[in-house]
Amino acid sequence: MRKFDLTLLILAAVTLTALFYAVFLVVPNERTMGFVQKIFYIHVPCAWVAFLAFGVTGWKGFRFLQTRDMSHDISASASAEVGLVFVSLVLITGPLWAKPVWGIYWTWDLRLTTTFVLWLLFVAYMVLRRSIEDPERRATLSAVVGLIGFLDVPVVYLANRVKATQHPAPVVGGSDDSGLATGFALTFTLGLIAITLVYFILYRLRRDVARLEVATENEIVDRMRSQGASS
Amino acid sequence: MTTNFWWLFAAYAVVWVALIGYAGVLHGRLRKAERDLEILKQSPRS
Repeated sequence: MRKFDLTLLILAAVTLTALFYAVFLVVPNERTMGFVQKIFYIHVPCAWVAFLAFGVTGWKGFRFLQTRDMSHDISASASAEVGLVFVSLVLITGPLWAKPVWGIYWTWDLRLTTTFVLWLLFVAYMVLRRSIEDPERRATLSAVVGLIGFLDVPVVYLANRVKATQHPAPVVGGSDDSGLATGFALTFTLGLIAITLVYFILYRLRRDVARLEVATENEIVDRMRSQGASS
Repeated sequence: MTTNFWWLFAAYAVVWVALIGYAGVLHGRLRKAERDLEILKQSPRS
């Protein structure tokens, strides 16, 4: 294991332990929702990491279109897959929080709908990658879809700032009267750091898998070419 | 608090099972990709 990966792993283990300790033993229950509000410390960081992952996908896709360097495509696809895992977790933990608080699992509120659209866009991205064999064409089309997908991120972010219906208005970065008490804010920050570290571990691991798969693909193509040339 | 415990437990359990499971799948794919490439490189070019 590389030294940087080991450092990330240790940092993630420490921050996750601290997060669990803070969530279950230190931070008090929220006044109106009670115990179940603690889902917040995992739900929102997963959403933040999904935004980050799709940001990386969009940026790397853009860099690929600029440079035609396949390493950008590898990074973009790795980040998209990891982002899809996190946005799926947002769509699972959200309803698990909504049911005891709202009485329903799901409603077509603006924030929920745009998040679902974000999930669909990245499912489409993954399906597209599996359906195109030519690496150059696959990378180009994926970069375009990745950029379109990334455009939904600010829409999701702004959805409950523009029109808050069922999903509550933001408590972080919202209006002047929004905000968290110190203990809640510290635990939330710890959650953001811990889940971001987990993202980087998974992203780097997924990128290594993709690099090896591309190397294998290139080796096979190379052998086929040399076989063709010699016959 | 007790009635809501299972919702909280389910949310945290889903997240950790999914993340640990995904990391395990990626680790397995990494080992397989390393093995495949190694076998390919060792096999003689015809």
